[in-house]
Amino acid sequence: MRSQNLPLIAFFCLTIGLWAAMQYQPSRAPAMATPLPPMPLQALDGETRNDAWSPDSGRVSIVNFFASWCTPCRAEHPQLKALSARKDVALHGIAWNDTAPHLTAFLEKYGNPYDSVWRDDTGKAAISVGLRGVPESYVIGRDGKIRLHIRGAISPTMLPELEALLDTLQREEIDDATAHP
Amino acid sequence: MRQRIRNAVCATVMLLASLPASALVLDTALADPAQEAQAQTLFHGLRCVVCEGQSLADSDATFAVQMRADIRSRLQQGDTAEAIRTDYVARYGASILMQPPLNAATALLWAMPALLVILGGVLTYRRTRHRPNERS
Amino acid sequence: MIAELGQLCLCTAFMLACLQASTLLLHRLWRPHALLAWARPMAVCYAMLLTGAFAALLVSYAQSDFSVMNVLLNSHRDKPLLYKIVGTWGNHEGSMLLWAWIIGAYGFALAFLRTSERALTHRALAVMGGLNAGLLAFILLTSNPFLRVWPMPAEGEDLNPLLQDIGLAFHPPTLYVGYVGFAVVFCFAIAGLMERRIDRNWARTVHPYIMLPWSALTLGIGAGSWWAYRELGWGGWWFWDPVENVSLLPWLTGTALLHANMVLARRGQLAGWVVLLAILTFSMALIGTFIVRSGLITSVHAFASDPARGVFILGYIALTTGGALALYAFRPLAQQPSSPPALASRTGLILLGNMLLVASAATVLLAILYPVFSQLLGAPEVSVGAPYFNRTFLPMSAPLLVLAALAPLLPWDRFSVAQLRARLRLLAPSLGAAALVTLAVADAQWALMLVGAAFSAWLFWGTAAALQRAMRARASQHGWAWRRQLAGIVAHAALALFAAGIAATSLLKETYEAPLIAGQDLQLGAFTLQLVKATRTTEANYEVRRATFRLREGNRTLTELTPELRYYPVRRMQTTEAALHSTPWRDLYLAIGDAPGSPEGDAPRLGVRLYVTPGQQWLWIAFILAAISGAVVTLAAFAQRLTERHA
Repeated sequence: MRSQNLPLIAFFCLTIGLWAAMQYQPSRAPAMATPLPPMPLQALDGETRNDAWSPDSGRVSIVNFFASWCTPCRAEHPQLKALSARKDVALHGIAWNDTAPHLTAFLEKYGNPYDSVWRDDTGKAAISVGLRGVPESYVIGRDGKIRLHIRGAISPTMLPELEALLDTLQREEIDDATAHP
Repeated sequence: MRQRIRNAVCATVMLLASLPASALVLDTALADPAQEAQAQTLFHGLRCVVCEGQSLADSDATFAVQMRADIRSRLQQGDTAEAIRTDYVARYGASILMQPPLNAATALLWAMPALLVILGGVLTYRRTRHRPNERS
Repeated sequence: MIAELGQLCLCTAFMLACLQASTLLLHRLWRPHALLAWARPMAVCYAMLLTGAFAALLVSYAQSDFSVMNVLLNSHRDKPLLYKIVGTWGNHEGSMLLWAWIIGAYGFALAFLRTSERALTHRALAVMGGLNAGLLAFILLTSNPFLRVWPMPAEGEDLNPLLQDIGLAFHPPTLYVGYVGFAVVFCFAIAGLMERRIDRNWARTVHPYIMLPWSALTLGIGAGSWWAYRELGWGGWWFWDPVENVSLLPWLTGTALLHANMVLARRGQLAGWVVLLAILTFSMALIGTFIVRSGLITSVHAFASDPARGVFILGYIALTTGGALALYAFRPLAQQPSSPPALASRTGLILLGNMLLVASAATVLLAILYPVFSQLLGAPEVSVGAPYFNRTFLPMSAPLLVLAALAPLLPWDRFSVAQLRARLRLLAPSLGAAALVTLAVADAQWALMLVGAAFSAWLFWGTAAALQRAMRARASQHGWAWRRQLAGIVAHAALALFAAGIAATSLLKETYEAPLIAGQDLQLGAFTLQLVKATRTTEANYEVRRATFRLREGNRTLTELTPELRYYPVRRMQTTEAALHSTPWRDLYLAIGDAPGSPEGDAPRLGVRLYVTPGQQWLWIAFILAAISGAVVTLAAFAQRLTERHA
């Protein structure tokens, strides 16, 4: 009788495992806060370059990788607008593998929530942060370190948690030594 | 006359070549063959992160092209292949390697096939032995 | 209006399926045989209702009715009519409806093509009613294709251009006929467990319903690989993608099942194992569906994922497979007074082969789920791809070729060492042939080439020997029985051809890449490419750049090839349409793309990539031969049934 029970038991374990895997939500906070590397970017017109761009030190920033051809990026636009309403947080947009005319049209049509817009035409910026697709967003603390990494669109349900995190980061005390020069 | 046709064809080819591309894109190989060989080894060992199962060497996705260009430029600047690989793993995790590394965490993955065959063999052998109380 | 009719059909079908399933319990209380017999006409009605529902969706797509949300999201006015219709099942909801329709069609076939096992068939139909009820509940609650959108938008969103290909017309339906078909033998397994009787008659009744899905699945996997080879621009045809792996799982266990069922039909042995395989194969199909539609694993192939659907499917799997396995565990079959099969017999060799097939399937399943589980347990993310499978799956499945060559030559009963030695001596010359072939095509990877050639030659030789035996015994076989035997031989020959194709395409492939230089012919190895014509036009929903080349090898002109580069403006996506020149011996695969500017700083140019792949067509021929042999066996089984009925 025992050997006939084995398939049932094995199946039971597999089903439980699959159900558990469905419930799992990978944490978005990196185990150790690493600094956002300086990135080589181009300005919207494609001509002006900044070979080592970083968000302003001493301010909480959100760096959002997006593209005009990306549907989830359009979906998260209202959330970005809501975040840009906060004056204490800088919102920077980096367009990945996009072209100037499409970008300009996109920002005109849906509105421009960013404090500054950049282009990553060579892909080096994306590679330097380990980008796997768009949209992805990085929340940077006042010390210049990545405190939260959101893969995929920022959904409306994420906003309260995100705003709370931004408030916490705002209140953080930082040493002058750890801030970017 | 033939030369004229050829010129016309060439002009058309130039025109066609000006659209932005994300399908087949040919790379420029490095001048130094040893370095290019190192690059090719890296490309075959790293996964294309926006594709399904393809290595960097096989993929024509724009991001893969950019990654290959990035790796080539870093090799030219003097980085060692090992340093580049470590760097990519640090940014993307071990999942960017085409072959899962062999360590404690993946021991089960690599051992499982052999274990399954051994287990199967044992079960098959037992099944073919005389067992008076079991049903067939 | 039409969509509402479709919705109505679905709801009615759901209630009918529930009724059908309830006869399983009710018949114990009231009118045992009569009540179960209702399963047949109910199955016929169910099939008609599902046809109505599916037709409603097809018509909505054909008419570009964008008030139906499913059509809005997955179609576009500019799409050619063929691709509008094909797009019906190119999305999650439509494909689930196709799934339900196919299972209805199988039920219809089962009801219509009567067998000698009446009670068993009725019970199996009733169980299928239960399966259908769950499936329709899933569709109606989480994946309804008939949801409306108001106000009706003027235009739809374009379907992914990669999917606008004739291969897509064949690939999913064929695949589903395979996946879903294994539900029939699953239902028969449960019915047999309920009646506590799995014997030769059961095996004979069920055999065509194993062979048909197996053939369809073989053809479907082949069609998908062929499509990928033509479409994806770099000559690959199998990527060990989770969705591809998931279609391999039921194929592997299904192959084990069909062989074990042959043993059960001929010898009455291995009943318990056959039941287990029947349950396992369908549950592999379900688990595969779960994996790709739940969002557990993201894939280029996967449909838009939704965790709610995932949990529903998981529950469905738990109920159906768990219930079946519980039945297997707690309702032992009636004692059969036969002794266990000997390992040194044809049955034993088939059992060994089964073991390897199931072990390979388990390996593939583990490889698919490993990244998910390792992340769950906190280990660093890993990804499992081609290198892993090359090192594990290939060595595990290669011995199957050895077994497939030997088994048809050995007796069903126990064979002696002397008999085995005789067969081995018979097959030994094949190794010499393999060595000769390797010498002829030798290059850097000759050792692997030798191994591949050896396995393939061994199986070819063994199949030829089996054919010779069969022809000698021809007098005692007639009509369909002879055709069945021949089909089995052809299927093994197809496997040998497939192995040879794999060895050739992976080890002997040559790749050439170069930018086009104005005014010059391109010299690629022994081949010369001459640009004849280059054009740029606009088609229905894409812009296309075409270049015609004349391909020469040495002095001989081989052919003219016209690869294309297409740009789809709505999706802003560029795809490659390669040009293929296929001969039985090799494929020449030409793709054009953009090359960076020359180092002197010229404007960007066109470049070409040429793949020369020996043995590529052998793979497709092997798929087709295997599918045909399966179809022949299916027809043989049905024909035999017809003659028995009229006898």
